[in-house]
Amino acid sequence: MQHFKLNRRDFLKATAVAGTMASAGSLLGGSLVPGAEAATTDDTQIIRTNCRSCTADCGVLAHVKNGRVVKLDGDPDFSRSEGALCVKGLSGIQALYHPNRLKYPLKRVGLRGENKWKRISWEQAIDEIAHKLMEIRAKYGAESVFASTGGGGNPNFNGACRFCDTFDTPNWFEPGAAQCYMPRTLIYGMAYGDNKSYQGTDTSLGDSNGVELYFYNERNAKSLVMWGTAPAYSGPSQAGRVLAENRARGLKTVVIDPRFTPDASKADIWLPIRPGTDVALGLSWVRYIIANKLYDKDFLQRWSNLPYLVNTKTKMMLRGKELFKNADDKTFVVWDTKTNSAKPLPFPYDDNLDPALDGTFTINGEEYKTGFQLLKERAEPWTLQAAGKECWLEPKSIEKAILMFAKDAPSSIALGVATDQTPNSTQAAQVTAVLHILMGYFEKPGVLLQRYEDKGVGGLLRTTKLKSFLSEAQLHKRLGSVEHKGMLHWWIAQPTAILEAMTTGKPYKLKAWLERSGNKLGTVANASAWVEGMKNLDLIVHIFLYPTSFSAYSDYLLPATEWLESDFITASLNKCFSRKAVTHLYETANEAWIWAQIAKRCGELGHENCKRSFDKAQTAPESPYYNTYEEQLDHWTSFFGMTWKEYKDKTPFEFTPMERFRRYYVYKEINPKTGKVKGFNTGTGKVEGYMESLIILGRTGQPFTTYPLPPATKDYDPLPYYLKPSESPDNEVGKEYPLVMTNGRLPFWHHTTLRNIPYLREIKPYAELWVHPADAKKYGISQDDWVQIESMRGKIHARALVTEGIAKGVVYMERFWNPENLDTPTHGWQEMNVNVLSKQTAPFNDLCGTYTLRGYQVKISKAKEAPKGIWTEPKQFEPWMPQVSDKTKTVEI
Amino acid sequence: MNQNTQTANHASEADELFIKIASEPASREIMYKTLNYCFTPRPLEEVKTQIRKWVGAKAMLHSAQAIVNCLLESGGLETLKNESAMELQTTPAGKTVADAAAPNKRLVRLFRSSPEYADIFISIIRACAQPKTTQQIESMLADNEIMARENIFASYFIGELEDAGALEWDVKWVSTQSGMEAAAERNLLNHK
Repeated sequence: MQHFKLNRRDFLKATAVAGTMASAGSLLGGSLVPGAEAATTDDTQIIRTNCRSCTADCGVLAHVKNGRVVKLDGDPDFSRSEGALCVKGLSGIQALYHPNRLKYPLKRVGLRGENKWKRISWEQAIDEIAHKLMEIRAKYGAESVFASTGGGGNPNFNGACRFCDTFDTPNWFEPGAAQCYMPRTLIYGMAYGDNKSYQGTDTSLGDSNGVELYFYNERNAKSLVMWGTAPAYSGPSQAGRVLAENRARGLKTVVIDPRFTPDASKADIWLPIRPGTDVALGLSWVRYIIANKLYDKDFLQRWSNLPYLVNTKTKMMLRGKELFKNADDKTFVVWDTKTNSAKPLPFPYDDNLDPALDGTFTINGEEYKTGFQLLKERAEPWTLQAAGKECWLEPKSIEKAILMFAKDAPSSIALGVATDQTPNSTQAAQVTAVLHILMGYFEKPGVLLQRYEDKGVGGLLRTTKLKSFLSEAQLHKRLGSVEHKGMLHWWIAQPTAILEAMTTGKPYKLKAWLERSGNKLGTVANASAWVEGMKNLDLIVHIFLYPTSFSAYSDYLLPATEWLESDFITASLNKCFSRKAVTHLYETANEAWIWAQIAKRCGELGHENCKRSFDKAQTAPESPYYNTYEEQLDHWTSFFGMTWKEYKDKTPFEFTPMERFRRYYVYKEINPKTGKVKGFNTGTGKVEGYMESLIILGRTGQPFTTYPLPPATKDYDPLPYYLKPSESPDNEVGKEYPLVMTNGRLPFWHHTTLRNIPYLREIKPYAELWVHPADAKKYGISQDDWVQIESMRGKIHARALVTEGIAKGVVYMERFWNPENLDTPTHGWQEMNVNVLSKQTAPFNDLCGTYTLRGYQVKISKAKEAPKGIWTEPKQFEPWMPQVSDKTKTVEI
Repeated sequence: MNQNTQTANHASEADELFIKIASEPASREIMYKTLNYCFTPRPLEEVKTQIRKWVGAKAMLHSAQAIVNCLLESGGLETLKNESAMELQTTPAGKTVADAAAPNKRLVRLFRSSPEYADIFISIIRACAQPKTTQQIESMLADNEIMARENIFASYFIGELEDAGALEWDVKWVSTQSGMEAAAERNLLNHK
């Protein structure tokens, strides 16, 4: 294998990075890690692969000696990480050789929760699970089976969905989705366009967007707003790192976050917003930009739908063909200020017209307003003072931030997961999309929203959903989805609706849960409610790497491969890479293979859909299931005209040259078929600040549904609106629970993973509760005190960190669970798990069904002691130190 | 230990046992039957043989031995040593649970808690006097107004009846004797 000489100092000289910045995490200055020298002995291989401790896929050089992984380094050739590797990636060895790894399939022999298991073969496990699923299907219907997954390092995200479609159950969920990323992909996908790429379609830095920031030497971006995102925590090797590079080169930043994160500490402006009030703040920005005419008028007139006239009664845009003969489908009506009359505006534009941006008009006795006018009216109440009062911010600071966004141009708003975790989730994405539209921050060098020519490499190569396999009758039964049609975007059910059905049996019984991820009880809102519901299930299967709290309630445990044992296709900017299995332990199996085997056995037992799912002709143009994972990989790499072996031998390679990958102003390019400019991939061909498409979504399920669906109870709002948090310091709940709880990442963990890694637990052994000094004094709490935190749902503990790094009136906790207590009655999820406190009930976001994971009320008091049995001292984690294993057999059935 | 303490302890043991068995929906019915079966002491092998014969045993997660182990460890059964073999007998807590979980009592509770669905429950029990598939039950209930109004599906009612011991699955749904008796009794009540 190749032999690399890694020297980061040389690398940095070559890239002409100089400077005196001394921030931690930067590649500059004194914080450099000395270059690692590769081993030179013949029995050590260095294998290029990719981490999957989180979703970032950082490049890794794995040193493998006699089949054992002995060292991990960052891969300098992986463009997004450039050789950096965070602690999560570095923990890969301890994760791989963890003594508590699931080694082989296990079947429960005691009562639920007793954690008593016996080893069985894969053949027996698959056979019994399939038999049980088929029986449950016959007894209660396929819809009584549901599956779940999570973002905790899962590259085969659609695996659970694909299985469900194949089995003809409409029900799968993940604790993320409506609470993580889906609100943003939905809204940006509809406002900016369905671009079928995976880099640049929205502004989530944590999901590998923000590519322009990686070209930091060009200094194209002048400012950036980080709204509810903490890249130094969520992506230390990628987004966090390049932000340091950008700031060193003069990028100005605004951070909107209740926490004083490392990014906030380096920002020009920090807005410590009250959790759950982001849309109020966003509307104040809209109001200010409009009132002070800071918007890009030309872009709005030419490239947005905001000048289009909207019937104020029907809320629909006025089509050209309603008034003018021969108008086509992409012609809408504007008010021309030159002639003071309504005129058709064909796509893309008519230079003879001067469309009014605002105004109210009467045409044929009906009232019309421009989309811009309606937006202006919506934002009108949100003065700086009003937003300051609602969001607990200084109006002057808000103004400074707006001016930076508008005048230090081009800029962007990197919107993170925080706003996805309240019922106002899609509206937060909407208001930030509108702000990009007002400023015309699309597809120019330096902005985050781009249409790079990435050929959809990421999207094409992942497990696909097989939506066509879900029958119409079953689609109608998807829990929560008819009311919350935004969920059709990810083809997913609503967690609370699943919980309700599991607990009450209505509208129908749920009887089997196939779960593939870490610790569901650490991630779902109001975890205790889920444990009650699980008592009604006949079958619970957990597919994961090691036992978690969820496993304790399961019937079968199936061992999945760690990332160092997995093959997969990865990519970065314009290059293809490959994650390579560098070893294989025990009887662990790739998740894709596990789902395929269960589907195969169900097919053998008579499930017609499952049989069809292995037929290439029946599943085309999507991939069928394959009997082996190697065949699956070969299918994916056939996209490049290669087998998997050829592909991984060739990586890294460019799938498109960088000069073609980086294309700008795509909307101005000429479409050779039509001879017109391409515009945007929306219904109007323009970016859509007035989202009539949401009304259509709510009424029909288009553009995502495969069959007609009944309408939602109420039309979705085409403009962003503010929904006050249902629990608030100033309402009834606030009287007993006066503090606002928020969450957010730390750099040591990805979701609920890695709490069992000894070195990481040594750094952060327990959950902390960040409390402002004034609140700490008020409630009699000192630094390092153990604290009880209570909400209307339950009570947990954490250790106090008294800091001005959290706003007064707000407390912060990260998600946490205690693997050391897995074998106790608590199963580790009840001691310090913030989701014992969170809220799974209404109100929900109208489009997506989002519940409340942040921005609810709690109270705190000093606890007598720490929770029983938790580990806090480094020596206690010694039992988890790696127990190295040789390569073991690969099991085939 | 005085009588009150003994009674309180017994009550809490029975409660605990009830909760543990209630959390085993796939094996619950067989666990109740086992507790009933062992009111009279029985040899272990006889108990296991009987467990394997009951409807639903094949599809159960646990083996017969595992069922016995679970009931022993949770205090529903106890072992008696005699000269020839080990015998199993239901404990006082186990008897309390078996009694409370008697199908006729469960059915009474079901009808009391959901009187608005009584007619639907009865119609399913009657129909399943002859084995029926789920699809046949769904067809039978296709035009039911209550179900349409409340958007409830047939599996809810089937599942509730199964949990109450009125239906059991043996390739198709079949009414149990308790279920038929409850339906007949209800019919008499309705016609009084």
